[in-house]
Amino acid sequence: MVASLRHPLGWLVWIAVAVIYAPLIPAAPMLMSPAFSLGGWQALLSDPQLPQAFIATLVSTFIATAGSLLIALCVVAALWPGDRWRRLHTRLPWLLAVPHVAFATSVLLIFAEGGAFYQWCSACSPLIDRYGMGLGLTLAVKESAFVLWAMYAVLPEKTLAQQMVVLRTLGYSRIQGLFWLALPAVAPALGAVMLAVVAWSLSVVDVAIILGPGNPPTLAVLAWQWLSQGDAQQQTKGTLLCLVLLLLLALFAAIGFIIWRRWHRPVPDTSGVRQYVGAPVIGTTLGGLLPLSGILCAAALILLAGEDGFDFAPFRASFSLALFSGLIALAVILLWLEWGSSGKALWMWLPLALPALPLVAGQYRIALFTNIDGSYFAVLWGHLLWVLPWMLLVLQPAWHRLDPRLVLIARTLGMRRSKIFWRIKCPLLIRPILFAFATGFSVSMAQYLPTLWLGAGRYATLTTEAVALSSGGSTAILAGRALWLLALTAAAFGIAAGFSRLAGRYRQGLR
Amino acid sequence: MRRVRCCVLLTGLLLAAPAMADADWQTVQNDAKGQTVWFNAWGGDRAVNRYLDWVSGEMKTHYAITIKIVHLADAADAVKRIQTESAAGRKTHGSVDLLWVNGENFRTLKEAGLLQTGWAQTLPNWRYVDTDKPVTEDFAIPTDGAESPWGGAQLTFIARKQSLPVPLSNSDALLNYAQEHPGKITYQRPPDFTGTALLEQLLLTLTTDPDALKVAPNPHTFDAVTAPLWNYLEKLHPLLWREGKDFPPAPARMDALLASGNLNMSVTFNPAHAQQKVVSGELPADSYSFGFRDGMMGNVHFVAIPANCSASAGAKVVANFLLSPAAQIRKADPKIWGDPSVLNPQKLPSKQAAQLQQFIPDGLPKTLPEPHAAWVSALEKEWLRRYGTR
Repeated sequence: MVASLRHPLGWLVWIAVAVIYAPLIPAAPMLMSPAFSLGGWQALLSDPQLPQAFIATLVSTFIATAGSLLIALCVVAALWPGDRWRRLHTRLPWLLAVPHVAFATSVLLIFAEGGAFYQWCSACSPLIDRYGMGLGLTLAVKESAFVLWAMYAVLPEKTLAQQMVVLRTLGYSRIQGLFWLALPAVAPALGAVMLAVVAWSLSVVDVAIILGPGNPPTLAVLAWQWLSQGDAQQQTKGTLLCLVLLLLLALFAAIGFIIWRRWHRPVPDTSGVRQYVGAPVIGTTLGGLLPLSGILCAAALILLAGEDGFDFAPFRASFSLALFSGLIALAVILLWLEWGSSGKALWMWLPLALPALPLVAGQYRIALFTNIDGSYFAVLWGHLLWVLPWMLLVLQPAWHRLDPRLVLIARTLGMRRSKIFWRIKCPLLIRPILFAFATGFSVSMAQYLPTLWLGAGRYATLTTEAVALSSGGSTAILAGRALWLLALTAAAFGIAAGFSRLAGRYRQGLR
Repeated sequence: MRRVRCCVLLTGLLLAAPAMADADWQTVQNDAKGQTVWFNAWGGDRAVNRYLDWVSGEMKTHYAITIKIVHLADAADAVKRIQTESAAGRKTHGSVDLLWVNGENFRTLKEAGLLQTGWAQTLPNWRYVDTDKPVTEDFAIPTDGAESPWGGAQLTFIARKQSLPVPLSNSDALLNYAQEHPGKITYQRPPDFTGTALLEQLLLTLTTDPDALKVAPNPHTFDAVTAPLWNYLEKLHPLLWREGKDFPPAPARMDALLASGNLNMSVTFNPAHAQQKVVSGELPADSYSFGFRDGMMGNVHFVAIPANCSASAGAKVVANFLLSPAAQIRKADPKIWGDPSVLNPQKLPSKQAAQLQQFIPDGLPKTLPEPHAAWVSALEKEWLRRYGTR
């Protein structure tokens, strides 16, 4: 930290990050104080729903995490490197842009009791899903798009693709290439992405209500039910359950890390055995099906959507908030990575893992204290607490993988630090930057609680309207609203993918 | 449309006349001019939202008050915000001026002293209110004038003529029907609001000690009072959808299962729900609503003004307008919203009385009062202990 403060920009970026993360301070006591209440723990542990909900949460999270990784690896093994991999990349936004709730709703409409699938196949009968397997599978498909998109951003095409070609001409299989070349190269980035997937699957509420087991529901749904009740004891139970979820996340991370350590060999196997694997049918099919499922989902939404008036004000609010929070976060992150960061700042990831409610309450206290509640600026500030870590998740691994030799050469040529940053590093990062911006855009689009609280209800966005309307449970309305969200997010991802291809055309090595 | 507007204007003038006499109210109305009222309301129903847009238009034209509607997914979102404001010392200029609320959320706010009290009965339109309805208490908690009634609700069953031609008259008939048609009946999983309400309804009709429900549950007598309910559920559950091992999470899911023919019955808290959903095409045309012959549990929902609100006078004028015969008649129209009125038609001028009367369905079962608010969590807890894991 001391080193980073020698530069005036270091000061600036530290202040910016402190302002964005300030709500963690009032949120901490709200989260931690119930942890020391013995009665609260007793009430939580004696709850009869807990064991079964715990199992369902573990099962669904495991399926979601392992499934999304498996799907992504199959696709990478089959399609990378090559034209089809690039084509997939431009088609992935079709699935990425579908809001989780909309995706879950269309799955429900097709596969739920009385849904389209069982009307078509009358011999099949729906299974009772006590362990959240359906939830896990749905999340696995949806999240695999995110994993693939993140891998695309960090898989260096130039150098690694050449090595892959050499490996293939020597007769090694695609699978061996994947494990020896691709995985070690993307491992740090992939680890962070998978951690985000675990955190998200553990804490997802809206999708779990739609698709998860009902009696009892998953832990996240229980926590949400308890936190939204007025009763103080129930709220304590809800907060404690959030801490339990946090511990579970740590557990998943530790297991993942151990498996990676055990499995990873710095020097690949030199026995020279060529595995024979047939044509990568599964991977190719999956690569085709993933974007298709996004289109199917959009088609289902269009069929379902009832007549829906279009209101311009929420659209404009959503768009401007997403645009500005994405741009501000991008600037802060780049400055932070160049001039601010020192070592691993684990606290920066906290908003991704912590429950939103105490954080939003902390934000609102600060906003009330400084009298900025109900202003546009306050909402923007509120969004940044989630937009920034999500974007950092994408950008940081790419930043650390920048070739230090390029910087060294630039310095020997007498370039100043700011010039190196602006002329060397930023252009090299153009693809991760575009991807990070699209991610940040969609994260900001999805914020409900911060928009409602910090804006004091003054700023209606597409999401606040959609969440409020969907509480009535009408699928037609839900579908209609989800379509608008989808259109805006798809546009952001599509533009990012387009620019990324354009950058690839002019700077061959970046592709 | 023009005719409606004209009618509303005339009613407005008519209402204004007696209010003129009341100097206090005149002051309130003068203060309210030009104010902006932030009305936080549940926004999960397009019909409700459209009705509120109409209210905004009327207030702007006739009272020079700007209403801004904040659509919430849950009134608890606003309750927590008001609590946080209070904890941060924001005693005035709060973010909520008027809040659509009842039950648990009202209790939370009132017990913490976060609501303005003693204003509801001073509204000029209070004289039309049907005081036989539970308009001065909310889940057996006295309102003390801290909230003004807005509409009624009653637990109602929905079925299709094709699969359930004769309405079930009581809980025994329900059990018999379940025996004849296993797997075709269920209810929402508590703590879903409607599911818990059905438990309360069954308890009200089954218990041998109805007086015990008017006060908070006593831990010593809880088992004895609720024993008939659990005995009944032991018999009913094996006959339910998925043998009572799983329950739908929300009313909308039950409606979908009814529409697809997987269930023969759905449960709702709005008596006009079936009518509305048939019109919107979400339920089949032969769907109808019914209740037990001896009455179904009902309640009233209210609007409240937080103690730290920024536009108190404006909020009162809006609350008064929401109680006006014109606004209540429009609200009761199933084509517009279909929310039961809280006014007594006999207290209205004959023309309006007739208009309101046509929207009160015949043969609606008697309204049973709700048990004390504390029964909700007690019943939920015991239900989850017994059936929450299968």
